[in-house]
Parts: sequence; structure tokens; C-alpha cells
Amino acid sequence: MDLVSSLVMGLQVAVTPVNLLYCLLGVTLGTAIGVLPGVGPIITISLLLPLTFGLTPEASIIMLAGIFYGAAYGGSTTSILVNLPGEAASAVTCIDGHQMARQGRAGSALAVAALGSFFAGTVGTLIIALAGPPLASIAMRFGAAEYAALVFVALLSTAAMTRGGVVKGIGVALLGMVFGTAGSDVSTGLFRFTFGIPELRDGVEFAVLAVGLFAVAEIIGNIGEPKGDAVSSRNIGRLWPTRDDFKRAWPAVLRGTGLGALLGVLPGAGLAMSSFSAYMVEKSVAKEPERFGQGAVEGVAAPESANNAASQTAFIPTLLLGVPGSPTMALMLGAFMIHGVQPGPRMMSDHPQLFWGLIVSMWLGNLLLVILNLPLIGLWVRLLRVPYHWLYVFVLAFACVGVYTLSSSAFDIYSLVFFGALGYLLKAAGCNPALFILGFILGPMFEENFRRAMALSRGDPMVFLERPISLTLVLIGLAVLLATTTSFVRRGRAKATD
Amino acid sequence: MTIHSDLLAALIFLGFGIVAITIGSGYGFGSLAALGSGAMPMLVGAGLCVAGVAQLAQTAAARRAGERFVSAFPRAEMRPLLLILASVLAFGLLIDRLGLLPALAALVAISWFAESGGRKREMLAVMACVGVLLVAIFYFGLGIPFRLVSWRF
Repeated sequence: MDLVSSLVMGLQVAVTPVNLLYCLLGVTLGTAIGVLPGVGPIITISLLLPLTFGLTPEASIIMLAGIFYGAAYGGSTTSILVNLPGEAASAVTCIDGHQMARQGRAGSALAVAALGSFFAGTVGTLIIALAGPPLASIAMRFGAAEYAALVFVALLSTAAMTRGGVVKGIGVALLGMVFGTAGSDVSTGLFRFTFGIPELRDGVEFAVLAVGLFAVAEIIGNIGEPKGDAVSSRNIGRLWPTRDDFKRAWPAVLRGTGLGALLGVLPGAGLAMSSFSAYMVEKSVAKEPERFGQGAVEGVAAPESANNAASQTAFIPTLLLGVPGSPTMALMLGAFMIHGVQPGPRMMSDHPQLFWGLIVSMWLGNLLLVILNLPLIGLWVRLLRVPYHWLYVFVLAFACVGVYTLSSSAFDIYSLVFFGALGYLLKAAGCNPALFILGFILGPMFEENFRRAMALSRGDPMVFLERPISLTLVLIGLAVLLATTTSFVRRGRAKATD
Repeated sequence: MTIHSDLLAALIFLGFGIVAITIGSGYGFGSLAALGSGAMPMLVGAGLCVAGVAQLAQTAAARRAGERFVSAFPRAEMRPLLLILASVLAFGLLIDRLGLLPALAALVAISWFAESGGRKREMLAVMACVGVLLVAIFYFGLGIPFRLVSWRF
């Protein structure tokens, strides 16, 4: 099937009133939580997971995806207006965006951010549509050994890239893998780690785990932190950028989009890294780098387009290989699996409606975001006045009721207490609970393929090195490990000799 | 000795690693050509132990270098930790016995005091809002058949 007819089919799915409504709902919610500090896309997606059981797969995935890329939009608004990044990905936008706002050019900054993001989102969507079919045909040739190696690389490089050190990163991902093995073993049917509890026979419920680790544990951490009061919005100024702003912003948007699209595909890179690197690139190619930090429009255009492009292309490994490159994508993968859809190379042929519908809806969602964001900015900023005290009580109540609806059993609520406590412990230990989710999702996938590969090779572990694709992947993984551990050893030595 | 964050990480990894190996060994490792149900828990558990030991070594080196550690559990976080978890637990204990509304009331009443400085009268307003909103979303909006109030012991 050619690209045009695929996209037309996607359009037909995306513009049905129900799906359009959920797309709108997703991007609106995404913008709102992007604006609110302390509530991010991970919390929101995990909170809504239990609710999506009743929806069609298309509607629920379209909505959850909307939250994900909508948050990247909303975060920029507060960065610019009140110097308060709603999301980590837009922290770097604060530097020049807020300076522009102080000079009375807030409207221009917001417009550049929105238009740049829209352009980047469009390009990102196109890349998925174009790269999809060829990539899927390569991935079709993947055997068990390649999949096991791919999961290994994805886990390792994500663990190595997170803050807090490579040892903690790998450790917490392994911990997630242990929890992933709970329940009945797919190959033998043996119940593992169920401790005689019948509710655990199907394994740990993903939605409960996600809500506990993120919503509950985050609330505990956020209450303990001191909070600064948000400054009220000032005059936004004219909304349309000047000709000079346009001229400066265009190349920055292009570079940011390219860089973001590339980094989005790589496992472990993530949105925050893409916006940060885009900013650094702009600063280094600029003729007058001293303008940065003083309200340079490129400093808004590049990171904002980069994080939006990355939020689109991050779907490539998730949808086409079934291997998520970031914790948020692991959550999206979990959402697919709740609906019995296994993303991977066969997704395009098995679920074309869902695949192309999602892609077109992402483009429509980006359009909706521009419409939502520019005229309604005043409304979004007013959201900042909601006191956290009210917010967390509501989030907690929503979490409990949502989790209870999963199977109407109080056991799920007790598990929520357990995972809330575990999430708090992990945060106290400086471990990123998001990596736990990645290990939990990728663990069973790794186990299945690893065992199959070993069985096919009659117990010869060399199978991972004899096949070229698998060998390349293993080498990449080892290189990442080596690069991070040597720097870790060096740092340790430096510390010891200080 | 204070339990600081690096030490806590090492303890978590070692603890869960040992549990995974011990319980996993009961499921059988199998052979290389036919890995059993216990193989993955044992391998991952071993990985966890390695990570735990590496983390311990790292902290020991830092300690020798004279680094000062702060406790991983600041006193200010104990109140939110206990009250938030207690409020969720209360919800779980009450939902099947008394119904949705009493369980929500207990959740709000306990979690409201997790952050200091909340006024009691404001809490009642939040309780009413939460009750109305959640019943609207879940009971009427999504049509989930909750018992709003019931007496079952």
C-alpha cells in the first residue's frame, strides 16, 4: 500500500468524531499538565491508563499520545511567561524565552515556540510515515537473538544516560525486570513470585505499578519540597513575531527539528536532552553568541522545535520495533498491550487502522495545539494559581478510584500502597523510578527472546555474536557500557585522590 | 551511621537480588539449551547483586575520600510519606465495606494533613469538590457501578 492511500486511511480514522474528541481531550490535558509544575506526562498517562480499558484502542492511544506531545507544548508557555518550566524538556527555553518576556516580547516568543513546534511536529510525523515501511521490513528479519540484543542495548543505553550514575541506572532497571517476571511463566506456566496470592497470577498489574511509582511517590516527594510562588502573568505584547524574529528563527527551527528528530529515535536520549543540545548547537553556530541569555529568539525556536520533533520520532522504535526508547514510551507500550496490540514490525500490516490513525492524529493534534495555545494562553497561565494542596488531594483521589475500577478489588489499592512506598524508597536512593518501568516492560520481552534464541542455538551463547545485526547491537551496548563505566571509574578515582 | 542515598541504593539492590536468586533457584535453572523458569530471576538477581556491590564499593571510596553524607530520609518528608500512604490504605480498607463516598472522605481527610498549613474548613470544601467530581467522572461519566454508600462488614 502506498503512502498516500495509507495516510488517507489514517485520516479517515483520525477524523471520526470520537477519535477527534479524544485527540482534543488528550492535547488539552497535555497542555494543562505541561503548564502545571509537579504534574508531568508520566503521572497523567499512568493515571489515565485504568480509564482507557473501556475505550477502543484507537481512541485511547490517540488520547494518551496527545498528552505526551501536548505536555511538550504546555511546558514552554510557563517557561516563557513566568520562568517556571512545567517540564524538564522546556527548562532550557526559560533562559532566553523569559528574557524575551521581560523585554515585552512574550507574545513573539510564544508564537515562535508554537509555530516552531508545529513545524517540527509536522516533520516528525512525516518521518514516521516515511521511515515506517522500510524500517518495518528490516525489523521483519529480526529473529529472537536480534530482539534480545536490541532490548539489551535499549535498556543499557537508557540506564547509562540517566542522571544518578550508571550503576544505579542499571540496578533499578534490573529491579524492574525482577518484578516483570512475576506471574505465570509464558513458557512453562509455572507461577513465579506469586506468594500464594491469586491476584498475582497474571503478574503485577502494570497500571497499578505505574500509578504507585509515579503518582503516589511523586506526591510524597513534592510535598516535602519547598515551593516558590508563581509570579502572575505580565503583559504578553503583540502575538505575531517581527520580521527580524522570523528571519532569525527559521534556520534555528530547521536545525532544532533535525537534531530533535535524530535524538528522539535514539534510546535514552529523551526530550530534555534534545532541547538542551539544540540550544547548545544554536549558541555555537551563532554569529553573536553573546546575544544568548539576553532574549535571543533562536534560543526559544531551536529547543522548542527539537523537543517536539523528538516527541514524535520517539514513537519510531516503540511502534516499529516494539522496543521503547524512554520510560514514557514504555508507558505507551504498556497502553498498547492493555488493548492486546503488540507493537512491532507487524503492527503496520496487522493493525493498519491504529498505526496510520495514530500518525495522522498526531499531526492533527499538533494543529489543535497551535489553535489551543496561542489564543488561550491567558487561560493556561491562570492554571498556575491552583494551589498544590488542592491538586495533590485530587490527583490522589483520582488515582485510587481509577485503580479500583481495574478489577473492583481492594488488593489493587494495597498494591498501590506497596508501589508508592517502593517508589519513595527508589527516589530516596537517587534511582529514577522511570527506569524501573522500562525494565518491567522490557524484561519479559528480553526473557522470552533470550530463552528462544538459546533454545534455537542448542545452548550456544555464541548465537548473539554470529549474526551480524545482533553482533552490531551487542557491540553498541558494550561500547555504551564501557564508555560510561570508564568515566565512572575515573570519577571514582578522582574522588578518592582528592 | 546514617543511611544516605547511595547506601540505600546498594541495600535495595542487594536485598532484592538475594531474594530473586533464593526464590528463583526454587524454580529451576534448566540447561543452557532449555532455560528454566528460574534462569531469568537468578541471572537478573545476580546482576542486582553485582550492582549492589559496585555501589557499596563506590560509597566506600567516597567515604575514604572524606565525603559527607546526608540522610536519605529527611525528617520533613516523613509526615507526607506516612499520611499519604495511610490515606491510600484507608481508601482500600473502606471501599468494599462502606462504599465510595466514605472511602473518599477518609482519603481526603487524611491526605489533607500531609502538607502542613491546610485549614480544616478548606478541607471540607476540597472533600465536597473531590466527591462531586469523581462521582461525576466515574459513576455518571464512565458508568462504573460503584456502591456510593453501603454497609457491609
